Amino acid sequence: MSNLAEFFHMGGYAFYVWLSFGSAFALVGGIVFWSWREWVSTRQRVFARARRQEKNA
Amino acid sequence: MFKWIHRFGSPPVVYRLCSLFSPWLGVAAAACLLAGLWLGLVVAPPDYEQGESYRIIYVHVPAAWMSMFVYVSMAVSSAVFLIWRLKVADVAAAAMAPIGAAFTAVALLTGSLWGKPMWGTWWVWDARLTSELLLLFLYLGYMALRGALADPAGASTSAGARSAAILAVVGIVNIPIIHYSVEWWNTLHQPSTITRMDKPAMHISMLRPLLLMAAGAQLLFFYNLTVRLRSGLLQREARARWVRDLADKHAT
Repeated sequence: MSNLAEFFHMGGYAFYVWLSFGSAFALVGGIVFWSWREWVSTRQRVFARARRQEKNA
Repeated sequence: MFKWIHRFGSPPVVYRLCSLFSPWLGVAAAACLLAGLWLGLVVAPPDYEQGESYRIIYVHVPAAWMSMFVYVSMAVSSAVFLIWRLKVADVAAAAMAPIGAAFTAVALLTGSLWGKPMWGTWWVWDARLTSELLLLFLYLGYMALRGALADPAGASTSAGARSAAILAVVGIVNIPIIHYSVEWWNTLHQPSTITRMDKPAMHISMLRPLLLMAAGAQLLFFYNLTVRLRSGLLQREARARWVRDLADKHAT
């Protein structure tokens, strides 16, 4: 357990190290996740409209 | 050449290629990043001068490399759009901007978080830092310009696409400035350790995770591109025949 505590402590640099990795995860991961959700909703919307038009045509 | 460009620039072909590569890119990116994090945070030894703080390199350097790589890709794509009027190239350039801006912001933030314990300051107006900040403004300017010239429904207009593309192409002068800033000016930022002509000044146990994180970031960018490009193409081509065919196939 002390090993794990030592790992999170990062030799006293915990704040700098974990905030660096955390901000990268939040910013880049956030864009990746948001892009994926946008794609899922765009596909749903565009395909639904395309099918409606098909029926009306 | 021209025929080739138009064949591979055709929206349904690009859409299909994106669908084909997307899952593989996503899995490969995740694998590289997880391996890089494990080796970088757990396996690699602490630095003899900087202790554990040097581990910030594993996000800082890949993010900084990507901030420039994505910008060059965006500028080349914009140039192709301006020269050959290729719609797909414009959709691609627009798709690259957000993640490029995210990488740039991460490079700046982690640089600041590394600078505080090592240099004793969050920020200095040195050439490397200032030119990287300018890169962030170029990305944000590109997106703001597109947004400002969009139509009321939020779709991009040809005026918006063209002016943003010109901004992206002109802004590329900043890339060599960022790259050579550490050599041209006497900066606080150190010169590069990895891409030197002789062998890199880093032990393999520390270098391997860095290369894995860099490969992971690169793959993640391409994965994100396949996702955003498909959104962009569907929006732009909503009324096209191929989208209707795809909608039918998707329903069954």
